[in-house]
Amino acid sequence: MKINLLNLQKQRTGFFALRTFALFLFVCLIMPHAWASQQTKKTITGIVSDAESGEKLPGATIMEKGTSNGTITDIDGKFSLTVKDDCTIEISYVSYKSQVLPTAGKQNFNILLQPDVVGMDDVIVIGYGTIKKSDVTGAVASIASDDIRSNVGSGIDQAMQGRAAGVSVTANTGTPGASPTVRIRGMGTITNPNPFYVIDGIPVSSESVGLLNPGDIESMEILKDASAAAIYGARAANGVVLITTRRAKAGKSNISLDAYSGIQTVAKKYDLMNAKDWITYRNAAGQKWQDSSLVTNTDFQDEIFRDAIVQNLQLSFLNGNDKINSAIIGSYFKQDGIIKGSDYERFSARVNTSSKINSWLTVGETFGFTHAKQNNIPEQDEWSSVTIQALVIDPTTPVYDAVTGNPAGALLNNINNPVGLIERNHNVLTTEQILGNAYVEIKPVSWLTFKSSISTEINNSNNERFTPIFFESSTNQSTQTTLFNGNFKLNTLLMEQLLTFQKTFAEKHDVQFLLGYTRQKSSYRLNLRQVNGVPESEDLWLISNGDKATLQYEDVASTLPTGKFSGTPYDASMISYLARLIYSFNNKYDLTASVRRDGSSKFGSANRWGNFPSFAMGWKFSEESFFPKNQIINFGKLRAGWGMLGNQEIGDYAAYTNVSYGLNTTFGAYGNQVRYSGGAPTGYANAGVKWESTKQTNIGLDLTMLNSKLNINFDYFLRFTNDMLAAVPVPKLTGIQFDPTVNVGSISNKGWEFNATYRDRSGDFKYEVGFNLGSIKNNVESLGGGKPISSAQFRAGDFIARTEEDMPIAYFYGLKTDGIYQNQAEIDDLDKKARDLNGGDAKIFFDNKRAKPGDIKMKDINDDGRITAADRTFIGSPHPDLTYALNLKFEYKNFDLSIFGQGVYGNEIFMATLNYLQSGNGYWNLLNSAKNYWKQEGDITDVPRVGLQDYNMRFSDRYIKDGSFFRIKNVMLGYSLPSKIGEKAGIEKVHVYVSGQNLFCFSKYEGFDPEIGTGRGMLDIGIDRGMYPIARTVSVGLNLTF
Amino acid sequence: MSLFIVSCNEEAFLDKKPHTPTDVAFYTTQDGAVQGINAAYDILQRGEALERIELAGTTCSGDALAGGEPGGGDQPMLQRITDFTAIPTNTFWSTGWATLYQGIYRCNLVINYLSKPIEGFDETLRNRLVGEATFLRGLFHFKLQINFGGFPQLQGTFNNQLKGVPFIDHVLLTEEWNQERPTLEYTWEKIENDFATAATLLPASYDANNIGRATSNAAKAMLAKTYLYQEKWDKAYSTAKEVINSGVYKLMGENGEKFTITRIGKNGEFQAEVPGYKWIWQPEANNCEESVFDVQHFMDGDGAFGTQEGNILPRYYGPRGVKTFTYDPATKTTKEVTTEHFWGFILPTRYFVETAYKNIGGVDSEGKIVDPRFKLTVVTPEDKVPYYYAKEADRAMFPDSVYVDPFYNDPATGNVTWKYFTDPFFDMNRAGLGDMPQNTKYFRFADLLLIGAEAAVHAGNTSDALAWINRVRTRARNSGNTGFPKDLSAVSLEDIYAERRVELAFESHQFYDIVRTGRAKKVLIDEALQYSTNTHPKVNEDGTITNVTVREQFGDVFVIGKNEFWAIPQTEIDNTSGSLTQNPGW
Repeated sequence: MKINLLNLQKQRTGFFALRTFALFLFVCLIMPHAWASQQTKKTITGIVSDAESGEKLPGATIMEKGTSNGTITDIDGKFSLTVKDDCTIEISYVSYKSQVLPTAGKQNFNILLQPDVVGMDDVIVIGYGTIKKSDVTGAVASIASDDIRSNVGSGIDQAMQGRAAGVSVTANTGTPGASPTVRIRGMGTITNPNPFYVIDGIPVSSESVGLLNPGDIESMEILKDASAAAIYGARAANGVVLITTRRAKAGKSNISLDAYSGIQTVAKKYDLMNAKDWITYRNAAGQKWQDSSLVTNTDFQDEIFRDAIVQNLQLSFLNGNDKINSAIIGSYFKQDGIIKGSDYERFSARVNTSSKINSWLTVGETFGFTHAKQNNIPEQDEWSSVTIQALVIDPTTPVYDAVTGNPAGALLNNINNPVGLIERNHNVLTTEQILGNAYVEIKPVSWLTFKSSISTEINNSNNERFTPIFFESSTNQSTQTTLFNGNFKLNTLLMEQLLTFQKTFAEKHDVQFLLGYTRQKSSYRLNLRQVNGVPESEDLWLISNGDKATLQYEDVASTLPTGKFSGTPYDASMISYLARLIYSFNNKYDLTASVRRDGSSKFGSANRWGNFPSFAMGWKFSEESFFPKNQIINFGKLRAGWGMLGNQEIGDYAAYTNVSYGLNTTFGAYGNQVRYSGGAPTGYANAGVKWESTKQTNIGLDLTMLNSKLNINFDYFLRFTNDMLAAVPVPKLTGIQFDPTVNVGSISNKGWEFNATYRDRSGDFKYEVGFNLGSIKNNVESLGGGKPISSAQFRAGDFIARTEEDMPIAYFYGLKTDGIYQNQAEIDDLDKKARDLNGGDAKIFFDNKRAKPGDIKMKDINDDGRITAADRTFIGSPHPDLTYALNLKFEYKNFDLSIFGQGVYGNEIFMATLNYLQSGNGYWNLLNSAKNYWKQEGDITDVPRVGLQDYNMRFSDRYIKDGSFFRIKNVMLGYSLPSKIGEKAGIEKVHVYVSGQNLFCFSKYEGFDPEIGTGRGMLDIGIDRGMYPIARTVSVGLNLTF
Repeated sequence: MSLFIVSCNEEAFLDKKPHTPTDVAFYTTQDGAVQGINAAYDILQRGEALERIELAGTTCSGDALAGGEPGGGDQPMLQRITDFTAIPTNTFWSTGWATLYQGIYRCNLVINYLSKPIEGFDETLRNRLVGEATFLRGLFHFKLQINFGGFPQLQGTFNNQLKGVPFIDHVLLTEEWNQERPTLEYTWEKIENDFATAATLLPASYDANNIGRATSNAAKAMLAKTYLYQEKWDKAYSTAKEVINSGVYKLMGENGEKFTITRIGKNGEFQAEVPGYKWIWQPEANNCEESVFDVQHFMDGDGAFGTQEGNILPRYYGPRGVKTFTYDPATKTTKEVTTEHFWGFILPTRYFVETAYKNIGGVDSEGKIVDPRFKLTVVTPEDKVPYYYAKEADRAMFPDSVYVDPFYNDPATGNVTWKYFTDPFFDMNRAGLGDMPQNTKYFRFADLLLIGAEAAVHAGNTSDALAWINRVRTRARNSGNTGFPKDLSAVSLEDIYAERRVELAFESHQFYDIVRTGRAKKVLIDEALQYSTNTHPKVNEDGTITNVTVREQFGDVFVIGKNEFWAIPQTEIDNTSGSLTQNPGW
């Protein structure tokens, strides 16, 4: 006992220790008899081989059923295990069907495993436990770690794209290191629809999941429906992604090296005017003239883009035996951006171990450290991003000024030279992240496991931006240096106590029962500092990261001219109780029921607690005696489940009206004026704010057919979000500056998912064809008070998107065009009609009184004879009707080829860049297609006349473009050295490959790329602001295992 | 048992409170309440949210075009207001509306928590704070009412459909959010009450550190203005008179005094003497004796766009294309930098230049403008201005004008204004964008004298009217050496309107003046547009040049019975579920 306690104490701190000990005692007290039980033992031996080829299978698992006692076959497929005299053993191996055999009266086993191409007996992670895939009752998608790793790029979130039906992954930008938008089964809320990520049991934010090295991953499961995700209760409403990092398998030790290096290029550029054409157009627009023979012609897209290197190097040391297994992984990833000045670099180290101290005690840990550094170029907004500037700057501006050698100022004010932007830019984001978990697992009896763990996430990000003194043009200059330093620290501590009962009764009743208690607290600290007038030399920047920085700054503050400091502290905590029953009868009927009770500090004391139950059932109808045994349907299962989930992502303190500072003013006579601090509430407390709840029903069918070669899954789901948390616009006459978070409205997502994989082999030729399809219909069922929510402003102008009842979230809202006015008579007729309908006032016009022939005519939707704000209507939806992916894999002898493609269908893009590139005022550069503008009566074109006004650029369906595309995302051709050759050199495996990423994109879209993610805020979807484009990459790689 | 213990401290574990105080704890301390009222003053300083919106008070009057970056795309929301083509979704309007009501909310919080004596809270301070809050609440509503509400005397033009803006006199409960619009009279009366109450609560002056806070005289002056806007002439006259005669305020340089300023020139620091009418736009004149109420600013070295203490209006007003100097006080060295800090909004029209000074007798027998205020208000192309000049390249580009794109500006003038412009140069080293040191002159004594004069004429006391208008003219005359403008011997309303237009030019008065006095049609349609028919060259695609008119380009047309007042922001109508009604004509 003493030794056990000491071991425990190593794993814990503070109040967690007391709790762990208390629970441990509790367990000991109620199970005294179990401790003492004794059994008769014997040793069995055997050999495991492939039933088809006779090949010996090393690494197969042999488990004494209902216990954690087990072993793994050696290199010759042999095993030896001491078991209870009269028990059953289960033999399992990845990609083979498991077998269960009684040991009574038998010592030696010759086990032949049947290949199971669909892997129905694989064990998958379901949160606080594992389950056999065939017993799953909910909608759970597994993504193979190989598929994750085949993606050339920094993050696992990017690599999820197209890999699971119903999981949509959309890049927001092509910036190296950036995270995409991930939506599981649509958008269930307008507040924070990001999924909940759990890495080795540690919840991490969607921003920091991208820091994980894809090579660290053992498995990835996506809990799509409520019955699967409900065990994560209050945070699971938008789906859960469970990531498990690698560990060695018992009896398997090796060193492996994975490396690739590639070159990235811009896949597509805008088709813009050259200097001569632009001047011609500009003159037509009545702008200042310039002699076109005198000007230079600069293609600024060429000036900002480059061919960029991406490289990855990983070394893994795996060591496993029957007592200890460990994985040590180090990796380095570096990606230069295809836009000059941007890059991303990541170093990561991981040490995962588990040690079996004795028959009933196991301790283990996972520890991951990541350091990432990102050099960012300005790309955040549509006013000043490098890409926008490169598109809109006049092509007559040279890159560098002939006299000064500095980046030349643009001909026109308020446009910045994109090369200057890049050259002056200093915007570095460094992040250090630690994900750690330590646990102790106690198994007093075979059917009971108690696991106690402590986990932490520490994330320390620092953003440093520097503006030098420079002069480029009248509107783009700085007369002083500015150093900005923003530091974000997140610290999460999580304690979990889990008790699992697992037992088979009367050979027929498999019962797994889980009880758990978890407690989590997080603190966020955000510190922003800005100092002006610092020296240009980086060595002299005295403010830096860390706690000491503030002191350091204060020491030197008197020597620095001016500065600005602000910070925001937040704290959050959560307590949860969880329980889950998984029951399987006769291997035919499966039942899962779970409930989680969560308490969260984000809500006022009255609404703090929420309960999140779920139920699901499965029926393996193919196992019924009446079901004909045949080769058409080998396995069939029907699943149905229901559950309730929560979402709490609203930021902290919504229940309090608290004072914001920094609303300062100044008083005093001249020369004596000083800043006086001011403060006032800017938000509005909603003490009644409570959980957002999502109810989801799922019906699924799993089929294995055609001699187990074809595997099909189909799921249909209904997902309703109620009491949606949203910052609802309140009348501004209340004085409330920031809209309060309230529980309003409901949203439905209904859809289906289909997944099919066909695998076969013919001699040396193996192939796999897989595809998945998903379709979701999103609808805002109600919105508290019915007030529509406007979102997605462009250039501080009108709102593009609108969210309102009985419409999809954030659909595009604007005027509808109705051709072009061909002559004045047409305008006059409509004006006359407008006056007739509106009381004959001479000042009433059909449209804006400035309409002239050649202008775009808008549709009078409400038929009042006039074009007003009321004529705006639905002009498009950013939500696709269908998302799909295609996966082809071929293997012939030592060659392997995989092709992966992914696409969306039926969505629209709001091409906001047209606001510049077809603007008609000759101010910005333009698309070549703008040359086709209306010149005289009878011209058939959709481009209006040239002219100064923004009249034709009002948000209308003129901006709406088809967003459908199909992308060949990854093609990989590989060759493995025959094992005979490798063996001589002591090498287990050599695999070389060449791969192409984003090689083709089938789309009609004129912009950089039709994949448009989320912009500013969750209700800003599919609006193309000319983001950093996604690169095309060709790379070569090598995997070496010793 | 252990599980039970766990449950006991769970609520404490989950109770996470903000790190900043809640409203009750904040306002009931002296420190907090003072910060609370400071936050209400902060609203006035919001350059991008509020102060620049007042440019519309000038650009809609025919006296100036919006200007900005050549091409007509700069600040499209302002351009559309100027062209009278804005629609109810205009974000200048919605931002202005929201910002003013934020200020009202901050005032109501102070008034709410300080309505009764608080133990340990100084009574004098409490009264002052409630007075400041009441004054500012009145001021915010006044701004809302003259833009979004209306004037009782104009009801006829609008078929009696004008309504007041909601007057919010307490922190609203949720069920009160969907406000309806009261009558015009209701809102005006509440504004009057606020200024009258504030006048009784506020002190007459402050210590040196607090100069710039609202005084009792500022409240009375605002009350006089409130009466004037409603044509309550007797009250406007008597209230204005009380403040004028108090002797608290004077016109700077009324007796020809000159003021010394220190500036940075090509050769380092130097001193210059400037006349009163020029001096009042300099930072040295912040909270001077002519300031009835200034919006407070100072240069705090923060480059932010009008969110901190610096003033953004000088950026908007200043001409595009100038050079400045930076000065290092430590080494006493000057460096010339081609920093073109100014954005060239507010371009005086030919209509203004050719009529405004003529109307007040500021033109000599040869037709030359000799009112000294002209050269201190407008920079014309022929001016040789010391200390700043356009970039050479820009001059070549704009052959007709030193500063301004002739295409955009009224082509015959190429004028810019330099009110608010630091002259000669202020140290630009520390001034980022929107960070200029001078106060916004929200209410100058000259304005009050002319308000008094206008009310006096209506009230029948022309001798006071004459005396007051001549004080304004005397100071103008003493700011130069031409002997103009001469004193008037008799005064009419037309004289006062004309004097206001010149004296208060480009200070966001003219549009409200022509609307409230029912002269919008006369000024905007009959007169101003005549000056907008001048043609300017437009180059066609084939290289030929045709002349087009401003009217053809911009087609600005003022609709009587609609454009006098702004549209209630569409989002606000949506957010109140339509309980807030739109103004007539929109």
